[in-house]
Amino acid sequence: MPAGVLTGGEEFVAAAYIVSFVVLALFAGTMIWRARQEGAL
Amino acid sequence: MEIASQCLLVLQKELRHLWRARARATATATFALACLFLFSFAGGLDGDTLRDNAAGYLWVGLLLASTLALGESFRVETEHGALEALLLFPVHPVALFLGKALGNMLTLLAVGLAMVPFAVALFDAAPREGVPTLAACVLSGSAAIAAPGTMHSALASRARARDVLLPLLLFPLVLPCVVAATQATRLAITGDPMNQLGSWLSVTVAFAIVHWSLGALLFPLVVED
Amino acid sequence: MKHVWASGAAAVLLLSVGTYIGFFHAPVEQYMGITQKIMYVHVPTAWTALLAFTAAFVASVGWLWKRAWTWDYLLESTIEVGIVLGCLLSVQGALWAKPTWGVYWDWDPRLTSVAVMVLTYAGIAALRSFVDDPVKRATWSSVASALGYVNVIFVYLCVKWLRTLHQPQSSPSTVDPAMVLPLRINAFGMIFLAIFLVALRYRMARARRARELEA
Repeated sequence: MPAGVLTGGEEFVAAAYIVSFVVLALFAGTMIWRARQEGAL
Repeated sequence: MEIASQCLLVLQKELRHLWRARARATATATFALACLFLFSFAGGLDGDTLRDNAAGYLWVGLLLASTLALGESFRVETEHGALEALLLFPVHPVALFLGKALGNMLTLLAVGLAMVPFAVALFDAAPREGVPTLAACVLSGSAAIAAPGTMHSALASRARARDVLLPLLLFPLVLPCVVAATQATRLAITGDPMNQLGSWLSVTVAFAIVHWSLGALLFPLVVED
Repeated sequence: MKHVWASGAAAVLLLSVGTYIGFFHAPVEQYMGITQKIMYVHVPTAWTALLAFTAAFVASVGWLWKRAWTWDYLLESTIEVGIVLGCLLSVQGALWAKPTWGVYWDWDPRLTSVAVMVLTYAGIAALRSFVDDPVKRATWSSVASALGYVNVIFVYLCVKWLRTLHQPQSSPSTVDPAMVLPLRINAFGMIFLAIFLVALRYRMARARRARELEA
């Protein structure tokens, strides 16, 4: 891949994606769990 | 017009209550001054920094004091079930909103203007654009805060945890007004070579117009049963 | 209910595909290098968060106008989903800002507006939890939501104007066509995910209200 003017920053990309998908998965998971608890499922 | 005369009656009631509870009003103003003192120490006692940030200190101090003043205006209604009595009177809810908001605006204006001489002294912030300009900034900012403040005070006073709800709801809402009023005040203090003060003031005025209108529209929904 | 699960499944599928294409098939951007790839998750999150807040506004107007409980369920669910998406958006924005602008936060009008939006709705969520009467709760939170939504426009304009006095605003360059595909796929994926979350939360709100009103 040709390098951009800005090099590096991989850890920020990784952090952004990991945080996003973990948060969304946790949110969805707890939402399903709460819905079950409250009898809405 | 019916609403206008009712509004004046409500305003008179508010001012009368303010006079009767002037000890509390004085305490609120003293609280605002205490804030100014705190800010000067937190700001580091460096003359130039204090001067540049004086407008910010003034407005944050006024905003903090407003949580006390605004909460008070509805506490007196909820404590003795006076709100229901007022509405049964019958007072039109819009008149009630306008009267209360005007009362709150005057209270904020009074506290703000009381803070000005102290801010000038503590922060070496004599307004280069003149005192009337500075007063105009305080007036428009007070008008802009008063409307959403009255609205959310009505909401918070009838819910639980009212002391924390009012600032929590109000502060994000008045953020643009604080930005504009602070910029206008800062220019009034440090000088306005590029004539931007008027534009910032018009933002505050626009904010006030929008929120007074929305308040008049939505307040009846908040106090109905 | 089947539709809700289908929406969730579609979300997982689309987000996986979109992210894969974004990482391994889309070109590397000229100036920002690999950090630009954050866009494929950040922009869809932004669109979806704003969609959630707008849906909350529509729900608040719907309740104030029609007084049908379905609007209150929608308000409750979109507020919660909007807050989570908004917080996530701010974190993503900070992680993108650090390598590209050098700081985590710099009062960019969009970043600031989203933060104010999240604060506003967090306050409304708090208001809802402190009001016991369901009708009052619905009305008051609708009023506060309507005010809050209108307010964000002011916030955006004020901060934008304030910044032009201090710093020029940077914005990402227009999107290369080869990057549009993963962006679109992820955007649909996020929207399906939001629909899934809102639908579940809506059902929870409905169940809670049923319990409250019969008690």
